[in-house]
Amino acid sequence: MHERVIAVGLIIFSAIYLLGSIQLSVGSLAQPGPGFMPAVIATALLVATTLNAYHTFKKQQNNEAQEEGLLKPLAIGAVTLSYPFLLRPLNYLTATFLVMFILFCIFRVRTPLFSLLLSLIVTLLSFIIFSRLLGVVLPAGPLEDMILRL
Amino acid sequence: MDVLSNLAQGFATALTPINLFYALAGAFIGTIVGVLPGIGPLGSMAILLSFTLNLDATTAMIFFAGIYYGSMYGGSTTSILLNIPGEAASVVTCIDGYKMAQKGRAGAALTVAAVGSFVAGTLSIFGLIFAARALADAALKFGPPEFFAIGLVGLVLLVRLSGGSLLKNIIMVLLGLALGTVGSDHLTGLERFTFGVSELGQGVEFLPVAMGLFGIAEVMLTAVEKEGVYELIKVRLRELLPTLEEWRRSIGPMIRGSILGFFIGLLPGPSPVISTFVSYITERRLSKHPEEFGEGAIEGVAGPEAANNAAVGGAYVPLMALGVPFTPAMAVVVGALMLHGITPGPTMMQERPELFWGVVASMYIGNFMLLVLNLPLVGLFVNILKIPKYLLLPLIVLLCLVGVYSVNSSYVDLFVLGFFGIVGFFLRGKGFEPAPMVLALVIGPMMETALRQSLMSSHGNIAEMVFRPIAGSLYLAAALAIIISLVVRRIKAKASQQNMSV
Repeated sequence: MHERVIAVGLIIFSAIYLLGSIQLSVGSLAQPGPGFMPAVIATALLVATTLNAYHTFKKQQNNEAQEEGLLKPLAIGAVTLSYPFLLRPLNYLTATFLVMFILFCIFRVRTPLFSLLLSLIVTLLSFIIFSRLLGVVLPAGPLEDMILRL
Repeated sequence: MDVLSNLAQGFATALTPINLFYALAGAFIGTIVGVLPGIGPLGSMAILLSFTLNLDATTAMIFFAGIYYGSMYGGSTTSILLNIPGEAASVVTCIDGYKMAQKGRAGAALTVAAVGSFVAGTLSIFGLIFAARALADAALKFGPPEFFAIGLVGLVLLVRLSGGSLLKNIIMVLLGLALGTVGSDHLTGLERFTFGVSELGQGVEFLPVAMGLFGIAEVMLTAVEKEGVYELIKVRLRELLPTLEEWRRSIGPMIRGSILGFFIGLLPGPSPVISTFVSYITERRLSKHPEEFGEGAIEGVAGPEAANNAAVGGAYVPLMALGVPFTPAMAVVVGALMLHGITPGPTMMQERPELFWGVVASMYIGNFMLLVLNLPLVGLFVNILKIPKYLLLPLIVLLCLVGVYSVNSSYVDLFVLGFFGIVGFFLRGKGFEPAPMVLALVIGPMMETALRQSLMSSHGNIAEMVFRPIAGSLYLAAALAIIISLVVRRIKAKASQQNMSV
């Protein structure tokens, strides 16, 4: 099932990309415009993804009852995607603590209390290492300033 | 004399305390990465890329060379002692290395692997010095048609050599090229596929894509795997010395593996992996005791281990001489150079000699460090495998997040990281290799500019662009390589069909 979804998704992407390319100025062989290369790539991509979809749909589908196995990785993906949205308003320490806590919970680290402690230690240590030792500029608020002053 | 004085200068650069420290740190981290299945040299280099921002460019390159070499060697340790290849390039070492360990010759296998890696590293460095210089001199005469040909031929070979499905590899290359067209057009400045996001004007950054596809996706894939239980074969220091007979049998394979590995390293794709298989097959064919292969033949360890290390040296040649990375790990090196404002290419050796020669010398030092560092610390490295997954994986995610953010302080880059993590998880789970996509993303913009410049200067005459001595030879070589591989595949298929019918 997933393979078919991916195959269809790739065709949709190729079609959208082709439409976008054509809207740019394609030009001619003697004067290729900004849309020239994208149009060439998009055409090839559409052909390749259509062929891939043909092979995928022709194949007998194994019953991939892996929905349960998808939960953990998808949760990790969702947490990673949410990080930029948390980082801007919450700054490094709070955003990272939340993300690490959720990740440790996803990986079922012993007890929630242990996850909580571990997240706290990892967040603080990482802030000190990255910010102080490696000179990385991380989003900082009053909490971060306080730790840096200590 | 010129080479010797440059090399001496390179050693002077590499032997400064800070560079020595980073060579050692790179070799150490690389070995750890090599021991751990999953992250790989590319993932670790991508993760650590942003943390080299405050370093001098030469020091950063020295650090990466250490990681690359270390990971190649680290993979062999677990292959021999646990039958677990930390890296794809160490799979072949499992065959005879683990058998040797079971027979009580683990120490000898580890030493031969280490010495083989050292010999190969040394020989490939000499190859790099001469090949890169010759190629760079020739490349100064290259024009846009030649650079387009190099990019195209590289991608075609990559698609053929990457393993897995040919069609899926083609799709990944095309997706990478498509991603490379995002941002301002190099020639007209017109914004393409940016959807009003100003940060995409500079194009999709290579680093978040690579870290998403290799780092986050790897964590997501590993999360569904069961945790392994490892039983370690212990090795005492006094057991590390091979017998005289084992040394005698290893010298030939080491030298042959080094030469094979170096030349295979010049090709696009997973050259360290391919070189190990080629070396293993070669040694089995040349051996007076082919029946011992698979049962603990020391040649089966010495040859492939030398080959995968020599391939690393070979992979540096197109990067240093042409500025074109042929392996994903080299693409990270390009990313690191770009971060430091250096464009790799034929003029780099003249403009930044201390960088080129410093890296060359540090490779030698890195190899020596691996030799002295790894054998006594075998036990420590193998115990790293005991770190539980639930601790390691969240930390890798954190390193990816902070690593990506620290380069441009960009929230968009973080989003790209997460997006490509999820994309990578689904695609890799269905047999789509991420390496061709990453390489195409790096090479794509250079190819586009070269193609359009070539077409404009030839007034749209494609024949004029193709039938040039260098470009034409490259296209011909690629066509021959494809035809030969297709013929070999057909012959093999026919032979297996005949065997089945018999």
